[in-house]
Amino acid sequence: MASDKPSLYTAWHSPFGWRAWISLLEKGVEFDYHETDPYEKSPEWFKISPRGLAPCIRHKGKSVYESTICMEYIDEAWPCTPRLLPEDPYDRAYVRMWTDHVNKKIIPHIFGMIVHQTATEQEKSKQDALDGIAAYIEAMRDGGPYFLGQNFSMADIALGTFGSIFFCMEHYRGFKVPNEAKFVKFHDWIQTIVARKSWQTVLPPREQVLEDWRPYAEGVAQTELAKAAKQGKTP
Amino acid sequence: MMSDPKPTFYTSWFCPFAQRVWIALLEKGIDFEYIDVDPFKKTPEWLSVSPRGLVPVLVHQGKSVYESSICIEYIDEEWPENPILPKAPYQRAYERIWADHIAKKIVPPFYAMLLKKETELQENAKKEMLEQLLVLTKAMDPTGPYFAGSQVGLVDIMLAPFAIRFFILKHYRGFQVPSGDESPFSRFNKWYIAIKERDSTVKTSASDEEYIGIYKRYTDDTGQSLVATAIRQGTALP
Repeated sequence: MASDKPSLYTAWHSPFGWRAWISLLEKGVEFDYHETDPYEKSPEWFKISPRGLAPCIRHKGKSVYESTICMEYIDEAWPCTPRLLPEDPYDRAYVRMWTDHVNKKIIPHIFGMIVHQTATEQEKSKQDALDGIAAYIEAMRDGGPYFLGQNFSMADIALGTFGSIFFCMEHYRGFKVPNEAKFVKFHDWIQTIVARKSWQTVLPPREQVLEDWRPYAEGVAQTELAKAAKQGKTP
Repeated sequence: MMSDPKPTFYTSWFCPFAQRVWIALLEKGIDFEYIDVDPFKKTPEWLSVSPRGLVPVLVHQGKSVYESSICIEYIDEEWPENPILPKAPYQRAYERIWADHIAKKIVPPFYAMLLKKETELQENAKKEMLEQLLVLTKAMDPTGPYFAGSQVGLVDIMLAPFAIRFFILKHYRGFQVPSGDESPFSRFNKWYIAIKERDSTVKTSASDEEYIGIYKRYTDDTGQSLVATAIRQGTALP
Protein backbone atom coordinates (compact mmCIF):
# COMPACT_ATOMS: atom_id res chain seq x y z
CA MET A 1 0.00 0.00 0.00
CA ALA A 2 1.33 3.41 -0.92
CA SER A 3 2.77 5.14 2.14
CA ASP A 4 1.66 8.46 3.56
CA LYS A 5 5.22 9.05 4.73
CA PRO A 6 7.12 10.78 1.94
CA SER A 7 10.54 9.70 0.68
CA LEU A 8 13.06 12.28 -0.47
CA TYR A 9 15.49 11.15 -3.15
CA THR A 10 18.32 13.64 -3.35
CA ALA A 11 22.09 14.14 -3.50
CA TRP A 12 23.82 15.48 -0.36
CA HIS A 13 25.75 18.09 -2.31
CA SER A 14 22.94 19.53 -4.43
CA PRO A 15 21.59 23.00 -3.59
CA PHE A 16 18.54 22.12 -5.72
CA GLY A 17 18.07 19.08 -3.49
CA TRP A 18 18.43 21.23 -0.37
CA ARG A 19 15.39 23.21 -1.50
CA ALA A 20 13.15 20.16 -1.12
CA TRP A 21 15.00 18.91 1.96
CA ILE A 22 14.78 22.28 3.75
CA SER A 23 11.08 22.57 2.85
CA LEU A 24 10.32 19.22 4.50
CA LEU A 25 12.40 20.11 7.57
CA GLU A 26 10.74 23.51 7.92
CA LYS A 27 7.33 21.84 7.86
CA GLY A 28 8.33 19.27 10.46
CA VAL A 29 7.26 16.45 8.11
CA GLU A 30 8.55 12.98 8.89
CA PHE A 31 10.24 11.57 5.82
CA ASP A 32 12.71 8.93 4.65
CA TYR A 33 15.92 10.29 3.15
CA HIS A 34 17.46 8.38 0.24
CA GLU A 35 20.93 9.41 -0.86
CA THR A 36 20.82 9.42 -4.65
CA ASP A 37 23.20 9.81 -7.54
CA PRO A 38 20.97 11.15 -10.32
CA TYR A 39 23.72 10.58 -12.88
CA GLU A 40 23.58 6.81 -12.34
CA LYS A 41 20.57 6.46 -14.64
CA SER A 42 19.59 2.97 -13.51
CA PRO A 43 16.17 1.55 -14.52
CA GLU A 44 15.23 1.60 -10.82
CA TRP A 45 15.97 5.33 -10.67
CA PHE A 46 13.75 6.09 -13.68
CA LYS A 47 10.92 4.16 -12.00
CA ILE A 48 11.21 6.54 -9.07
CA SER A 49 11.86 9.72 -11.07
CA PRO A 50 10.57 9.38 -14.66
CA ARG A 51 12.74 12.18 -16.04
CA GLY A 52 15.69 11.03 -13.92
CA LEU A 53 15.74 14.29 -11.98
CA ALA A 54 16.69 14.87 -8.36
CA PRO A 55 15.38 16.00 -5.98
CA CYS A 56 12.35 13.74 -6.27
CA ILE A 57 9.67 13.19 -3.66
CA ARG A 58 7.78 9.89 -3.58
CA HIS A 59 4.51 10.26 -1.71
CA LYS A 60 1.46 7.99 -1.75
CA GLY A 61 2.86 6.09 -4.73
CA LYS A 62 3.44 9.22 -6.84
CA SER A 63 6.56 11.11 -7.85
CA VAL A 64 7.05 14.87 -7.72
CA TYR A 65 10.22 16.37 -9.22
CA GLU A 66 11.74 19.74 -10.18
CA SER A 67 12.91 21.55 -7.08
CA THR A 68 10.50 24.49 -7.42
CA ILE A 69 7.55 22.18 -8.05
CA CYS A 70 8.64 20.13 -5.00
CA MET A 71 8.56 23.26 -2.82
CA GLU A 72 5.01 24.14 -3.93
CA TYR A 73 3.90 20.52 -3.52
CA ILE A 74 5.29 20.37 0.02
CA ASP A 75 3.50 23.60 0.91
CA GLU A 76 0.19 22.30 -0.46
CA ALA A 77 0.40 18.71 0.81
CA TRP A 78 1.35 19.92 4.31
CA PRO A 79 -0.36 23.30 4.65
CA CYS A 80 0.86 23.86 8.22
CA THR A 81 3.12 26.77 9.16
CA PRO A 82 5.46 27.99 7.99
CA ARG A 83 3.55 28.57 4.76
CA LEU A 84 6.09 28.59 1.91
CA LEU A 85 3.71 30.71 -0.14
CA PRO A 86 1.41 33.36 1.39
CA GLU A 87 -2.39 33.44 1.14
CA ASP A 88 -2.96 36.48 -1.07
CA PRO A 89 -2.96 35.68 -4.82
CA TYR A 90 -0.78 38.66 -5.73
CA ASP A 91 1.73 37.86 -2.97
CA ARG A 92 1.82 34.26 -4.22
CA ALA A 93 2.52 35.53 -7.74
CA TYR A 94 5.22 37.79 -6.29
CA VAL A 95 6.97 34.85 -4.60
CA ARG A 96 6.69 32.81 -7.82
CA MET A 97 8.03 35.64 -10.02
CA TRP A 98 11.05 36.17 -7.80
CA THR A 99 11.67 32.42 -7.45
CA ASP A 100 11.59 32.32 -11.25
CA HIS A 101 14.02 35.25 -11.27
CA VAL A 102 16.42 33.32 -9.01
CA ASN A 103 16.15 30.29 -11.32
CA LYS A 104 16.64 32.22 -14.57
CA LYS A 105 18.72 35.29 -13.68
CA ILE A 106 20.98 34.20 -10.82
CA ILE A 107 21.55 30.42 -10.64
CA PRO A 108 22.71 29.97 -14.28
CA HIS A 109 25.40 32.60 -13.66
CA ILE A 110 26.49 30.97 -10.39
CA PHE A 111 27.08 27.77 -12.38
CA GLY A 112 28.45 29.77 -15.31
CA MET A 113 31.21 31.46 -13.34
CA ILE A 114 32.40 28.06 -12.12
CA VAL A 115 32.20 26.01 -15.32
CA HIS A 116 33.49 28.65 -17.73
CA GLN A 117 37.21 28.32 -18.10
CA THR A 118 38.20 31.73 -19.50
CA ALA A 119 38.57 34.84 -17.34
CA THR A 120 36.37 36.88 -19.69
CA GLU A 121 33.45 34.46 -19.45
CA GLN A 122 33.91 34.11 -15.70
CA GLU A 123 33.88 37.90 -15.18
CA LYS A 124 30.72 38.22 -17.26
CA SER A 125 28.98 35.50 -15.22
CA LYS A 126 30.05 37.18 -11.98
CA GLN A 127 28.64 40.51 -13.11
CA ASP A 128 25.41 38.92 -14.36
CA ALA A 129 25.01 37.10 -11.04
CA LEU A 130 25.48 40.36 -9.12
CA ASP A 131 22.94 42.12 -11.34
CA GLY A 132 20.45 39.32 -10.63
CA ILE A 133 21.13 39.52 -6.89
CA ALA A 134 20.78 43.31 -6.90
CA ALA A 135 17.35 43.01 -8.52
CA TYR A 136 16.28 40.38 -5.96
CA ILE A 137 17.36 42.66 -3.09
CA GLU A 138 15.53 45.59 -4.68
CA ALA A 139 12.37 43.44 -4.77
CA MET A 140 12.63 42.51 -1.09
CA ARG A 141 9.85 43.95 1.00
CA ASP A 142 10.51 46.23 3.97
CA GLY A 143 10.29 45.06 7.54
CA GLY A 144 12.78 42.21 7.08
CA PRO A 145 14.55 39.88 7.63
CA TYR A 146 13.04 37.72 4.88
CA PHE A 147 12.28 38.35 1.21
CA LEU A 148 8.62 39.09 1.98
CA GLY A 149 9.54 41.05 5.11
CA GLN A 150 8.30 39.38 8.26
CA ASN A 151 7.39 36.10 6.59
CA PHE A 152 9.69 33.33 5.44
CA SER A 153 8.82 31.92 1.98
CA MET A 154 9.87 29.82 -0.99
CA ALA A 155 11.70 32.88 -2.37
CA ASP A 156 14.12 32.69 0.60
CA ILE A 157 14.72 28.98 0.03
CA ALA A 158 15.19 29.44 -3.73
CA LEU A 159 18.19 31.78 -3.35
CA GLY A 160 19.22 30.94 0.20
CA THR A 161 20.35 27.41 -0.71
CA PHE A 162 22.82 28.66 -3.33
CA GLY A 163 23.61 31.78 -1.28
CA SER A 164 24.81 29.62 1.61
CA ILE A 165 27.69 28.29 -0.54
CA PHE A 166 28.89 31.52 -2.10
CA PHE A 167 32.16 30.91 -0.20
CA CYS A 168 32.77 28.25 -2.85
CA MET A 169 32.41 30.76 -5.71
CA GLU A 170 34.72 33.11 -3.81
CA HIS A 171 37.28 30.35 -3.38
CA TYR A 172 37.41 29.38 -7.04
CA ARG A 173 36.52 32.62 -8.80
CA GLY A 174 36.95 35.46 -6.33
CA PHE A 175 33.20 36.10 -6.43
CA LYS A 176 31.97 38.30 -3.61
CA VAL A 177 28.73 40.09 -2.99
CA PRO A 178 30.07 43.58 -2.15
CA ASN A 179 29.53 45.28 1.20
CA GLU A 180 28.41 48.52 -0.41
CA ALA A 181 24.99 50.04 0.28
CA LYS A 182 23.15 48.31 -2.57
CA PHE A 183 24.08 44.87 -1.22
CA VAL A 184 24.02 45.36 2.56
CA LYS A 185 20.56 43.82 2.80
CA PHE A 186 21.90 40.63 1.15
CA HIS A 187 24.40 40.03 3.93
CA ASP A 188 21.84 40.59 6.69
CA TRP A 189 19.43 38.33 4.89
CA ILE A 190 21.80 35.40 4.23
CA GLN A 191 23.07 35.46 7.81
CA THR A 192 19.52 35.10 9.09
CA ILE A 193 18.74 32.37 6.56
CA VAL A 194 21.75 30.10 7.23
CA ALA A 195 21.17 30.36 10.98
CA ARG A 196 17.86 28.54 10.56
CA LYS A 197 17.91 24.99 11.93
CA SER A 198 16.99 23.53 8.53
CA TRP A 199 20.00 25.12 6.85
CA GLN A 200 22.28 23.95 9.63
CA THR A 201 20.97 20.42 9.11
CA VAL A 202 21.52 20.24 5.34
CA LEU A 203 24.72 22.23 4.84
CA PRO A 204 27.71 19.91 4.40
CA PRO A 205 31.10 20.83 5.88
CA ARG A 206 32.86 23.59 3.96
CA GLU A 207 35.68 21.32 2.77
CA GLN A 208 33.26 18.81 1.29
CA VAL A 209 31.43 21.54 -0.64
CA LEU A 210 34.71 22.86 -2.05
CA GLU A 211 35.80 19.34 -3.07
CA ASP A 212 32.43 18.68 -4.70
CA TRP A 213 32.70 21.77 -6.92
CA ARG A 214 36.38 21.26 -7.80
CA PRO A 215 35.86 19.19 -11.01
CA TYR A 216 33.46 21.85 -12.32
CA ALA A 217 35.88 24.67 -11.50
CA GLU A 218 38.78 22.84 -13.10
CA GLY A 219 36.81 22.01 -16.23
CA VAL A 220 36.91 18.24 -15.91
CA ALA A 221 33.34 17.49 -14.84
CA GLN A 222 31.51 15.44 -17.45
CA THR A 223 28.07 15.52 -15.97
CA GLU A 224 24.98 16.76 -17.78
CA LEU A 225 24.94 19.57 -15.26
CA ALA A 226 28.35 20.73 -16.47
CA LYS A 227 27.31 20.54 -20.12
CA ALA A 228 24.04 22.36 -19.49
CA ALA A 229 25.76 24.98 -17.33
CA LYS A 230 28.23 25.75 -20.13
CA GLN A 231 25.22 26.57 -22.32
CA GLY A 232 23.66 28.78 -19.69
CA LYS A 233 20.96 26.23 -18.98
CA THR A 234 20.40 24.63 -15.63
CA PRO A 235 17.91 21.90 -14.78
CA MET B 1 -19.04 44.35 -2.04
CA MET B 2 -16.64 46.69 -3.79
CA SER B 3 -15.99 45.53 -7.32
CA ASP B 4 -12.35 45.16 -8.26
CA PRO B 5 -11.08 47.14 -11.21
CA LYS B 6 -10.62 45.24 -14.46
CA PRO B 7 -7.21 43.71 -15.06
CA THR B 8 -5.23 45.00 -18.03
CA PHE B 9 -3.69 42.41 -20.30
CA TYR B 10 -0.58 43.55 -22.22
CA THR B 11 0.09 41.34 -25.20
CA SER B 12 1.37 41.05 -28.74
CA TRP B 13 -1.04 39.42 -31.17
CA PHE B 14 1.53 36.97 -32.55
CA CYS B 15 3.08 35.88 -29.25
CA PRO B 16 2.29 32.28 -28.21
CA PHE B 17 3.32 32.91 -24.59
CA ALA B 18 0.87 35.81 -24.35
CA GLN B 19 -1.83 33.76 -26.09
CA ARG B 20 -1.71 31.35 -23.15
CA VAL B 21 -2.80 34.10 -20.76
CA TRP B 22 -5.42 35.39 -23.20
CA ILE B 23 -6.90 31.88 -23.38
CA ALA B 24 -6.95 31.64 -19.57
CA LEU B 25 -8.77 35.00 -19.27
CA LEU B 26 -11.41 33.87 -21.76
CA GLU B 27 -11.82 30.43 -20.15
CA LYS B 28 -12.50 32.19 -16.85
CA GLY B 29 -14.93 34.68 -18.38
CA ILE B 30 -13.00 37.59 -16.85
CA ASP B 31 -13.68 41.13 -18.02
CA PHE B 32 -10.34 42.71 -18.96
CA GLU B 33 -8.73 45.47 -20.95
CA TYR B 34 -6.64 44.31 -23.93
CA ILE B 35 -3.57 46.35 -24.90
CA ASP B 36 -1.38 45.29 -27.82
CA VAL B 37 2.23 46.40 -27.41
CA ASP B 38 5.40 46.20 -29.42
CA PRO B 39 7.71 44.39 -26.97
CA PHE B 40 10.73 45.29 -29.08
CA LYS B 41 10.29 48.96 -28.16
CA LYS B 42 11.78 49.05 -24.66
CA THR B 43 10.41 52.43 -23.60
CA PRO B 44 10.66 53.53 -19.94
CA GLU B 45 6.85 53.42 -19.73
CA TRP B 46 6.79 49.85 -20.98
CA LEU B 47 9.62 48.76 -18.65
CA SER B 48 7.77 50.22 -15.66
CA VAL B 49 4.83 47.93 -16.53
CA SER B 50 7.00 44.98 -17.58
CA PRO B 51 10.39 44.89 -15.82
CA ARG B 52 11.71 42.27 -18.23
CA GLY B 53 10.25 44.14 -21.21
CA LEU B 54 8.40 41.01 -22.28
CA VAL B 55 4.78 40.11 -22.94
CA PRO B 56 2.53 38.81 -21.47
CA VAL B 57 1.96 41.07 -18.47
CA LEU B 58 -1.20 41.27 -16.42
CA VAL B 59 -1.68 44.46 -14.39
CA HIS B 60 -4.32 44.24 -11.69
CA GLN B 61 -4.95 46.74 -8.90
CA GLY B 62 -1.80 48.56 -9.91
CA LYS B 63 0.49 45.53 -9.72
CA SER B 64 2.21 43.61 -12.52
CA VAL B 65 2.29 39.85 -12.92
CA TYR B 66 4.50 38.36 -15.65
CA GLU B 67 5.61 34.92 -16.93
CA SER B 68 2.76 33.08 -18.62
CA SER B 69 2.44 30.20 -16.12
CA ILE B 70 2.57 32.61 -13.17
CA CYS B 71 -0.11 34.79 -14.80
CA ILE B 72 -2.32 31.73 -15.28
CA GLU B 73 -1.92 30.62 -11.66
CA TYR B 74 -2.64 34.20 -10.53
CA ILE B 75 -5.79 34.31 -12.63
CA ASP B 76 -6.85 30.94 -11.25
CA GLU B 77 -6.36 32.04 -7.64
CA GLU B 78 -7.76 35.56 -7.92
CA TRP B 79 -10.91 34.39 -9.76
CA PRO B 80 -11.60 30.90 -8.34
CA GLU B 81 -14.70 30.01 -10.46
CA ASN B 82 -14.15 27.58 -13.36
CA PRO B 83 -10.83 26.34 -11.97
CA ILE B 84 -7.88 25.85 -14.31
CA LEU B 85 -5.84 23.84 -11.79
CA PRO B 86 -7.31 20.95 -9.78
CA LYS B 87 -7.56 21.07 -5.99
CA ALA B 88 -5.51 18.05 -4.93
CA PRO B 89 -1.80 18.78 -4.31
CA TYR B 90 -0.52 15.87 -6.39
CA GLN B 91 -2.78 16.70 -9.36
CA ARG B 92 -1.55 20.31 -9.18
CA ALA B 93 2.08 19.15 -9.09
CA TYR B 94 1.38 16.85 -12.07
CA GLU B 95 0.03 19.76 -14.14
CA ARG B 96 3.04 21.89 -13.20
CA ILE B 97 5.48 19.07 -14.03
CA TRP B 98 4.03 18.71 -17.53
CA ALA B 99 3.81 22.48 -18.03
CA ASP B 100 7.53 22.54 -17.16
CA HIS B 101 8.13 19.74 -19.69
CA ILE B 102 6.50 21.88 -22.38
CA ALA B 103 8.70 24.85 -21.44
CA LYS B 104 11.96 22.92 -21.37
CA LYS B 105 11.47 20.17 -23.97
CA ILE B 106 8.87 21.27 -26.53
CA VAL B 107 9.21 25.03 -26.87
CA PRO B 108 12.99 25.00 -27.55
CA PRO B 109 12.83 22.56 -30.50
CA PHE B 110 9.87 24.55 -31.89
CA TYR B 111 12.11 27.61 -32.23
CA ALA B 112 15.27 25.67 -33.09
CA MET B 113 13.48 24.11 -36.05
CA LEU B 114 12.71 27.58 -37.44
CA LEU B 115 15.88 29.43 -36.47
CA LYS B 116 18.66 26.95 -37.21
CA LYS B 117 20.01 27.30 -40.73
CA GLU B 118 21.74 23.92 -41.01
CA THR B 119 19.42 21.15 -42.23
CA GLU B 120 20.98 18.67 -39.81
CA LEU B 121 20.11 20.89 -36.85
CA GLN B 122 16.58 21.37 -38.17
CA GLU B 123 16.21 17.59 -38.47
CA ASN B 124 17.52 17.14 -34.91
CA ALA B 125 14.91 19.63 -33.71
CA LYS B 126 12.15 17.72 -35.52
CA LYS B 127 13.28 14.46 -33.96
CA GLU B 128 13.50 16.04 -30.50
CA MET B 129 10.05 17.61 -30.89
CA LEU B 130 8.43 14.30 -31.79
CA GLU B 131 10.22 12.45 -28.98
CA GLN B 132 9.12 14.99 -26.39
CA LEU B 133 5.57 15.19 -27.75
CA LEU B 134 5.37 11.43 -27.40
CA VAL B 135 6.51 11.63 -23.76
CA LEU B 136 3.82 14.26 -23.13
CA THR B 137 1.20 12.19 -24.97
CA LYS B 138 1.89 9.19 -22.73
CA ALA B 139 1.26 11.38 -19.66
CA MET B 140 -2.21 12.37 -20.90
CA ASP B 141 -5.40 11.02 -19.38
CA PRO B 142 -6.29 8.10 -21.68
CA THR B 143 -9.86 9.30 -22.37
CA GLY B 144 -9.39 13.05 -22.48
CA PRO B 145 -9.90 14.74 -24.78
CA TYR B 146 -7.91 17.28 -22.78
CA PHE B 147 -4.65 16.55 -21.00
CA ALA B 148 -6.19 15.74 -17.60
CA GLY B 149 -9.60 14.57 -18.81
CA SER B 150 -12.85 16.28 -19.70
CA GLN B 151 -11.89 19.72 -18.38
CA VAL B 152 -9.39 22.15 -19.86
CA GLY B 153 -6.46 22.82 -17.53
CA LEU B 154 -3.02 24.37 -17.22
CA VAL B 155 -1.19 21.94 -19.51
CA ASP B 156 -3.75 22.38 -22.32
CA ILE B 157 -3.41 26.17 -22.12
CA MET B 158 0.40 26.03 -22.01
CA LEU B 159 0.59 23.80 -25.10
CA ALA B 160 -2.29 25.09 -27.24
CA PRO B 161 -0.63 28.20 -28.75
CA PHE B 162 2.37 26.14 -29.88
CA ALA B 163 0.28 23.27 -31.23
CA ILE B 164 -1.83 25.61 -33.36
CA ARG B 165 1.42 26.97 -34.81
CA PHE B 166 2.64 23.51 -35.90
CA PHE B 167 1.34 24.22 -39.41
CA ILE B 168 4.06 26.92 -39.60
CA LEU B 169 6.64 24.22 -38.89
CA LYS B 170 5.12 22.21 -41.73
CA HIS B 171 5.14 25.20 -44.07
CA TYR B 172 8.75 26.17 -43.49
CA ARG B 173 10.34 22.87 -42.42
CA GLY B 174 8.05 20.05 -43.51
CA PHE B 175 7.44 18.98 -39.90
CA GLN B 176 4.35 16.95 -39.16
CA VAL B 177 3.00 14.98 -36.24
CA PRO B 178 2.15 11.51 -37.64
CA SER B 179 -1.58 10.91 -38.09
CA GLY B 180 -3.75 7.80 -38.19
CA ASP B 181 -5.53 5.73 -35.54
CA GLU B 182 -2.58 3.32 -35.27
CA SER B 183 -0.06 6.13 -34.74
CA PRO B 184 1.45 6.48 -31.24
CA PHE B 185 0.33 10.10 -31.58
CA SER B 186 -3.36 9.27 -32.01
CA ARG B 187 -4.08 10.45 -28.44
CA PHE B 188 -2.19 13.69 -29.15
CA ASN B 189 -4.17 14.22 -32.34
CA LYS B 190 -7.42 13.69 -30.43
CA TRP B 191 -6.25 16.37 -27.97
CA TYR B 192 -5.31 18.70 -30.81
CA ILE B 193 -8.71 18.44 -32.53
CA ALA B 194 -10.48 19.23 -29.26
CA ILE B 195 -8.28 22.19 -28.31
CA LYS B 196 -8.20 23.69 -31.81
CA GLU B 197 -11.96 24.06 -32.03
CA ARG B 198 -12.36 25.39 -28.49
CA ASP B 199 -13.80 28.91 -28.41
CA SER B 200 -10.89 30.35 -26.40
CA THR B 201 -8.38 29.01 -28.96
CA VAL B 202 -10.36 30.27 -31.96
CA LYS B 203 -10.86 33.75 -30.48
CA THR B 204 -7.18 34.21 -29.60
CA SER B 205 -5.66 32.96 -32.85
CA ALA B 206 -4.72 35.03 -35.88
CA SER B 207 -5.17 33.83 -39.46
CA ASP B 208 -2.84 31.27 -41.03
CA GLU B 209 -1.54 33.92 -43.46
CA GLU B 210 -0.72 36.32 -40.63
CA TYR B 211 1.22 33.62 -38.77
CA ILE B 212 3.10 32.46 -41.87
CA GLY B 213 4.10 36.07 -42.49
CA ILE B 214 5.27 36.89 -38.97
CA TYR B 215 7.35 33.74 -38.59
CA LYS B 216 9.26 34.31 -41.81
CA ARG B 217 11.80 36.47 -39.97
CA TYR B 218 12.77 33.46 -37.83
CA THR B 219 13.52 31.36 -40.87
CA ASP B 220 15.54 34.01 -42.64
CA ASP B 221 17.48 34.74 -39.47
CA THR B 222 16.33 38.31 -38.97
CA GLY B 223 14.36 37.56 -35.79
CA GLN B 224 15.40 39.97 -33.01
CA SER B 225 13.46 38.61 -30.09
CA LEU B 226 15.16 37.38 -26.92
CA VAL B 227 13.87 33.92 -27.84
CA ALA B 228 15.55 34.07 -31.26
CA THR B 229 18.80 35.33 -29.72
CA ALA B 230 18.79 32.60 -27.08
CA ILE B 231 18.26 29.85 -29.65
CA ARG B 232 21.06 31.19 -31.87
CA GLN B 233 23.42 31.34 -28.89
CA GLY B 234 22.30 27.96 -27.58
CA THR B 235 21.34 29.41 -24.20
CA ALA B 236 18.20 29.03 -22.11
CA LEU B 237 15.02 30.80 -23.24
CA PRO B 238 14.08 33.95 -21.28
